[in-house]
Amino acid sequence: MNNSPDKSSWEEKINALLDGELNEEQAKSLWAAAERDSALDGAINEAVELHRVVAKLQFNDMPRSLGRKLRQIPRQTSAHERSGFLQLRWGMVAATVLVALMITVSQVGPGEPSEAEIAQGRRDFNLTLTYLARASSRTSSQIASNIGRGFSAPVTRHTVRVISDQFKLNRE
Amino acid sequence: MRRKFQKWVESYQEDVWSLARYLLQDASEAEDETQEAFIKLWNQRKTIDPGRIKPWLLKVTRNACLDRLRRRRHITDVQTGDSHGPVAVAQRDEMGRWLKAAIADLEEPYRSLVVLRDVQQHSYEEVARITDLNMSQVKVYLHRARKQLREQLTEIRP
Repeated sequence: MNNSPDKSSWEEKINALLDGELNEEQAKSLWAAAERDSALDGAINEAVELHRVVAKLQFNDMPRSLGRKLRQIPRQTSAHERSGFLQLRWGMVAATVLVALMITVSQVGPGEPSEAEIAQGRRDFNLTLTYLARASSRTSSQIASNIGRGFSAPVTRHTVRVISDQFKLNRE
Repeated sequence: MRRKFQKWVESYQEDVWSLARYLLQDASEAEDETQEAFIKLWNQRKTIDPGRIKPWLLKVTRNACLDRLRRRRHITDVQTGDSHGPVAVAQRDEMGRWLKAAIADLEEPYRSLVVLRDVQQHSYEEVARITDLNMSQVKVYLHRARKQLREQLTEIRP
């Protein structure tokens, strides 16, 4: 290609040719010019060849394991969201139990309660423990189904045992 | 929605992977960014226009890759040798491999434009959307990038 003022316009036309933006007449005129100018002819051929090779240069080495991981994203994300929800529910159960315990403790606290009050307190407490055990059992099965049995049992059994031990009560 | 997502994965995973691979030049980093892009897609699936999933994914991938490159630039500046030297060029005995390396050596946004338009064959409109450039900028920069590649090719050819 000569260093003529047309050089930049040839560059534009070569790019338009590569992008398929030249109409038939424009393409013909470009090739006709290339016949008269060997440098332009070389530039066009080189550009076309390069363009063809580049179009085949996609990286095709994506690991199969990556495709698997990508397909699992919805399931993993949902499991994560569910476990967050379970934690929240577990916290609510614990808070409810705590409030019940505080009420019970305040009832059996100072003020010399009567035998009847103490007995009532024990019954209330046992009822609370029963609810706690049921809630624990249900939460446990949900945790077990989402995370695994290894996590659930230590948490729930331990919680019930610790609370019972504190008051040295036997569940009737 | 899960089925739709699986379809998006099937349709676009290769393009996302290839773009990340070109930009980062590292398979494990490209894997990370590909996963990140699809996790973001899943998390934001309700807010993205379904007709623009592909450009959205490629834009997110490109931005994340460029961020990663900026973070590691100070390391590679020290570690990278002269990849344009005659020895390096001689080692790239195959045209394809040479070209991949030549594209990787292009500056941004030239590199992204060549990958998106010439390798992955996206339309100019899509490329403009992905790169946040206007159409005429895309054309001008892409023409410069192609010219640069042609000149490099001329230099190494006997």
